[in-house]
Amino acid sequence: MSEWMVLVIAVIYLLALFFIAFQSEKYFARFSNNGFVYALSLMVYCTAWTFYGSVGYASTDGINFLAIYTGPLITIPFWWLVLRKMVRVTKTMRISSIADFISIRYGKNGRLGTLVAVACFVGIIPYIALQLKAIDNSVSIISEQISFDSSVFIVILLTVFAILFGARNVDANQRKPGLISAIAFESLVKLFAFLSVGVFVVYGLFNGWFDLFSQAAEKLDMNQLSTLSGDGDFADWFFISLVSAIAFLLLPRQFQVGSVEAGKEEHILTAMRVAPIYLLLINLFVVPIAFAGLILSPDSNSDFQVLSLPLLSGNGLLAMFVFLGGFSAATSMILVSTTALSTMMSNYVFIPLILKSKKEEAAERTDYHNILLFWRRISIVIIMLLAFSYFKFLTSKESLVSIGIISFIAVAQLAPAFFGGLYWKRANNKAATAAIISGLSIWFLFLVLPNIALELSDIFHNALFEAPNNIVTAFTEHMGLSRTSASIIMSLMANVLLYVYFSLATNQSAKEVNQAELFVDIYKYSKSYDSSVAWRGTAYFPDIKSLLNQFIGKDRTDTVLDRYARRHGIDWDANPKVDARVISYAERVLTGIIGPSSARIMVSNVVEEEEIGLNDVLNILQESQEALRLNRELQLKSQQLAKATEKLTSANAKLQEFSDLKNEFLYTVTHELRTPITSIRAMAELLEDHAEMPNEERAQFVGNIIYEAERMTKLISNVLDLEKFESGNQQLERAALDLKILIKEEVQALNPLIGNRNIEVKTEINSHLEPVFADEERIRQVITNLLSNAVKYCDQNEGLILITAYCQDDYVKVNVSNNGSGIKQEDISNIFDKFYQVKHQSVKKPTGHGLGLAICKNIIEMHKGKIGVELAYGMVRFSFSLPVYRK
Amino acid sequence: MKNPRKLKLVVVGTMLLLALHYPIISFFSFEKLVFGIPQLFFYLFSLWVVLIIVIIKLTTDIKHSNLDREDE
Repeated sequence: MSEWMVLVIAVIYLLALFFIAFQSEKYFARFSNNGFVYALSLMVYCTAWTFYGSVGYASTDGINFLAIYTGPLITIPFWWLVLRKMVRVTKTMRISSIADFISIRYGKNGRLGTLVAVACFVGIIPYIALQLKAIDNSVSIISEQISFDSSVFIVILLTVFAILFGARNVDANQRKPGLISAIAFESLVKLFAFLSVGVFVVYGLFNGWFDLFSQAAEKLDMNQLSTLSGDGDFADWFFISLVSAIAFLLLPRQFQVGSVEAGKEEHILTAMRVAPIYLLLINLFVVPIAFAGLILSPDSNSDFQVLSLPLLSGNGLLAMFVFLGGFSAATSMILVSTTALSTMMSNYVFIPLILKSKKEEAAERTDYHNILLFWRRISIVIIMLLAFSYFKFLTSKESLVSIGIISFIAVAQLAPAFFGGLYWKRANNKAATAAIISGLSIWFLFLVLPNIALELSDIFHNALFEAPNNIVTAFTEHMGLSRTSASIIMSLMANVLLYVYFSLATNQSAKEVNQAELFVDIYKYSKSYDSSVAWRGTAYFPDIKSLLNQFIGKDRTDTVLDRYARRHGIDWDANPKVDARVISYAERVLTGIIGPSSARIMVSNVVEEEEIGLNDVLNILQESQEALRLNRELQLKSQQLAKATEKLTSANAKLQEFSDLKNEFLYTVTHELRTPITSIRAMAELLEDHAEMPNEERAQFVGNIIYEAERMTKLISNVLDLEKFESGNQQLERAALDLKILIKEEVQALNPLIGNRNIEVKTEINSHLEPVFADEERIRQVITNLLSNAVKYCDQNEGLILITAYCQDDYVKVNVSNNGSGIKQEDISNIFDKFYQVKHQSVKKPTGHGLGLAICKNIIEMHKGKIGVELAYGMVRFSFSLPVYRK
Repeated sequence: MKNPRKLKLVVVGTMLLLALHYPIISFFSFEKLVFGIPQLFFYLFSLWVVLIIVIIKLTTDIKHSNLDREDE
């Protein structure tokens, strides 16, 4: 394949990346705002160094390379605590880089921020150069002949990409969906590329794992390659995994994707699942590929075995895919790192310079928006140029791994100040500065100086570097550690010692106390952040407004301030004097754009600030918490009140309903009582007035009077019964009860009622009917009632009554059907209501009162059973079921 | 730590830290094959798989709990 061809494919790949980035800028919510994309973007950790370098590392040192991944692995369970806290702080304070983070924590100190930015710079520029080197080497390995230097083209394209998607919005804290989606996509490409070459090597070049490992056991030095043997190995394993763990969270690109670009905090949970799986997959084949390389082509550059193995066996297509995988690993790292570094560079170098040099005209300028973006883009170009020149002039001799580790160790120097600041309130600015400077100095002495010395001419070399270098060598030999382990332990030890010492020995300023409190207890303050910032002074709304105008443009200023006023119920026109909350809010908005220390300066330019003491800070913090607590209590109280009101209302409605029911009941009962009384009275009067009445007639009247009186007695006892049930005063005397016998007895008792009418009674009772747990007298009452109703309402000419009983689930079910037409579909739902039947009878006036079924219903429900009625097969079927007796 | 779910995470992380370093790791660092795979390689990747399973379980528990309460 010619170099041109390779270049064209790389360009096509980058264009595809552009396409993905553009698409997801358009469809932000759907595409990049989910946990899976977040997890994949975190995998920007795996760079070309992982993709190519791991195999190289494993070829010389065996399994030791894995420490770079077991370090981050150990941190994963802690992400829900630590990473989540980092995200919360970053989002609450609108932080856009790790330099902002540390600078804000230690009192919005610009100098400290600059120091952090410098540490990142010296650590990361070589690392970016490393990626360029990886791309360049991979191009030359896959191309047959080299005719020109393609790296320039690729650097230019990457710069354009970084400018388009990394420096898109003036607010650096705003998320960059295009960039993140592209990175997530690249993470997938590199993973699949690596897995395919792994599968190809293990199953294509060898007959699976066992074959490969058994051949390796014969031909290679397995003690060196498959074990951690000496003390030095275990120490390296520990210290490299330590700095890798730190690097995973604090490398500028990791901080960018992990904290600045984080969406919801829940996404961390998804990342905690996806990350270990991803890391497992991308490391699974490293050792096999390294062994295969050592067996099959021991002379190739071990850093690029991933590429040479497919090429050697003539698999050009796979080699191309692998090349793209490595390309994606390198480009994703370059894109995110340049974005992160450019924010730091413009916030800590260019913006302070611009604001200082144009102080007089600063107030009138309104086009900062464009100036800021311009300088951030310039920063990207500068970073790319620096990395490119480093790649051209310095990295010729080193392997991929050594530069990577050196970067990690530089960034690890930020860890004490960073995590200390997140969890320890006493830590202060002086301590952080001393810690970072000491750590970086030792890092420089141990790891950078020897490399520079190698590059310089002999005279300089001897005079300037040999002596210190010899001291360092003697030192590491004395400790019995590798230079890497020694430098990690020395630098971090000095770093931590100074950090702790200065924190304890010196005092914090009031501002620092405020920030320390906010950081360490961020979960407490994030909801009342603006009122927890200690500030006292006088400021006016128009000043704040014009300040924001300068940096974010008129439209956004209006939106931002309107939103704030609406949320807090402020009327700017009525009261132009603003309070501390507004100042803090404005400063927060500016922080996202020009960094914390410049934002501080800009705000203090337009307001009259008063000196604030330590006690004031503590008071303000306490007040804000107090206010929050009171607010929460008030909310709780009003919720309780609302609940109580609701309960009262529903209780009242129920009472009203009961009262209505009672009235209706009374009305019906008295009405029902009056009817028989009226007829009794009428008949009694007739008897009184007509003394000469014949005896037969007289007997009939007396009989009627007795009948009506019986009806009344029955009604009254029914009403009393019903009252007993409904008030809950009725006691049941429950025992095991065989319904079979009961039903038979009741059917027998039916005969006198049927008399000589033509009614057929059929019973079908399951012979294995289980006993129920019930009050015999009451159930008898129910059955009697249902049966007598059936007799009353069945067909008058050819009556049929069918009684069935059987077990169903844990219930015994009894059906009483008759072939009458006494009930219509619309009556079914009301038939068990008191007095219902009476009013709706179309046939002759019945002898009942419409209380019978209501009583039945009460009895059955007291037994925890069910009662109902339905129309089926031309018959009316009443049925009830009772729970089976269990001992 | 009041939150039992967070405590579990801390315990898992600490155990992992211990299992992955000296001295425990040295018990598995011998030049021999287990199931045809170098012993240390086998140990590290099995541990890795166990971690994945445990983390999936713990994160599922957290997802199903009330996330607002996680702040305290």
